[in-house]
Amino acid sequence: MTQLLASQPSAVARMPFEPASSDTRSSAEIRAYVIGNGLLGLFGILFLAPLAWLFFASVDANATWALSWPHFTLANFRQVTRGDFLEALFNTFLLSLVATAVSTVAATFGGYALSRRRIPLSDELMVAILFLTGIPVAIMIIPVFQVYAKYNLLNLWATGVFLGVSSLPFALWLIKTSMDAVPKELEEAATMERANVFQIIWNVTVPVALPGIFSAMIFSFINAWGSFLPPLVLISDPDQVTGPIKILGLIGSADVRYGDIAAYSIVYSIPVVILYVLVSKPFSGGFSMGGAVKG
Amino acid sequence: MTTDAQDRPDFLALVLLLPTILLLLILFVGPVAFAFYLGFTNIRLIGPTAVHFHLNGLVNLHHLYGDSLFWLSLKLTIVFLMVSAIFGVTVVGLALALLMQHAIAWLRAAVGAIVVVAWMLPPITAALVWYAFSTTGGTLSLLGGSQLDVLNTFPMTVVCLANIWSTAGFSMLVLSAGLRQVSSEVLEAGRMEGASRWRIFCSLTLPIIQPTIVTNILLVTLLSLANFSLIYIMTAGGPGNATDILPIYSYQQAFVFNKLGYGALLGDVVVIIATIFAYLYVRMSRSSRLTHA
Repeated sequence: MTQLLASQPSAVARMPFEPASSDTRSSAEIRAYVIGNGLLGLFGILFLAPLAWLFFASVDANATWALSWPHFTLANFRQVTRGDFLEALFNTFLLSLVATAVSTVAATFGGYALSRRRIPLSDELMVAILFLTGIPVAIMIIPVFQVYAKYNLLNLWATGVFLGVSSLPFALWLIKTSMDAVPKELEEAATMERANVFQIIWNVTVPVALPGIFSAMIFSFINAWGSFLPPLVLISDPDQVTGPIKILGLIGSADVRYGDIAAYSIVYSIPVVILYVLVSKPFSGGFSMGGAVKG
Repeated sequence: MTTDAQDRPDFLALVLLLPTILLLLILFVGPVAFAFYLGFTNIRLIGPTAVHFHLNGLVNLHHLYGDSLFWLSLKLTIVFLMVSAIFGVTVVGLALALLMQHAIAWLRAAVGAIVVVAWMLPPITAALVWYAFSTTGGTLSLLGGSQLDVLNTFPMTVVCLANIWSTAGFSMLVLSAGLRQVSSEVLEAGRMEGASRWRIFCSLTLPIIQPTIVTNILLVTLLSLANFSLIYIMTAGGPGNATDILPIYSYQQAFVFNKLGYGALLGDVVVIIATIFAYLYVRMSRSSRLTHA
């Protein structure tokens, strides 16, 4: 990989920009341009190669692990969008909804308190919360399993709450930061009108801080939607199985149906891609998922 | 914030903050603390000590010290983080961000979309795609014209590549944002002085984006350490123990061999590693905020 990185600039390094005639200079520029774009294209092909199988196999009647031209069919997609496949996706949706509600509601009130009110040690608290965003969820599974098993909480709802809390530090960070940007005068005006604090939060602060709150919601939703280990360990009821666990079951079954696996993975992944596109416009400058440290 | 604060203690603010604090204490900080406690008990998943467990002193720690699989697992974790996160993702992300700068518009849009979609995919989908890509009969083995099981022959290389594939998009976005801070005046000044492009890159661009690179390395390391699903689905730590990084080894000890206590202790080691990187990350983001202010 070092060669890849180094080859582009060093190709030009031999042609400094100084006194050379305009002809050599432009030929060096052209060479750098061609090499640069060629390398980028190569990266594109390398990144596309693993994905190709997913799309081909999903519409192939005789799919295997191999990449081959499909015998076109939509049967795989029909197969995985009904019955318990659809139920598993619905469970994933419920799980993500619970997680999003928990983290967004708590983080909106908490973010308002930290942004607008006098809280002792609030700076230290924000550092601690930023620190928590770096702790991997996987290591909390054993203690949470132990407690959930003891109190009969090994179900979808309690797992949703746990996933919501695991997104809470980052959601709080996003919402607090976006509320910091709301002009105080707006709230002061509302206070003059004798509005109570909940009216102010709901009618003044939340509408203005909506982009940050929206990002936090989508982050929490995606985090829960993609989670694998928590639902695997913390949900014991087979009727509450989620999408990722279903995919794992498909891979491990005696009669592997490759086309179904590919089609189901696409159906399961599409909402996440759509939500990401909604929340971040990566190539127009905005980058809002900066601290998204969750597996 | 404190300038217009009232003199009386703000009880309402504490009430608003209470749900957040309670949730974080009960389901975040609490479990981490409880994991440290469980790591020093004889608790098992099933059997009599599943309910009636007690502290057993340094027995687990002693077992950890003599457990050759733990030391192997620690080594594999470090290799995985060094090769894929610290080196691979950062170099590929930086290469992509740099190449994007002067690329043809449609090529930049197309490659950008592919790389970012690879990053957006849920962990299980990324793992599945790479499993299909590298297993017997998969695309990689057919490229060689044989039925070679690439995944089982070079397991660590393949999971590192899969991690680079699924995280480089993140790194590319972070570093592209960093590169936008490099003003064209500075580069133009370098060009006036007759510096070569390589020289400009090393002496101007790199120093300016260095804080972004360090932050990116720390974030990507934390992301990779948390990426349990990718390796678990691709290899489950195998073949043998070839890809048995600590989060996987901890899960196996706890939920396959029923040793919840020992599994918790292994998880504690992961927390300690994550703590080091998270601490550095917090320090970096604080100091960069100070310099921007």
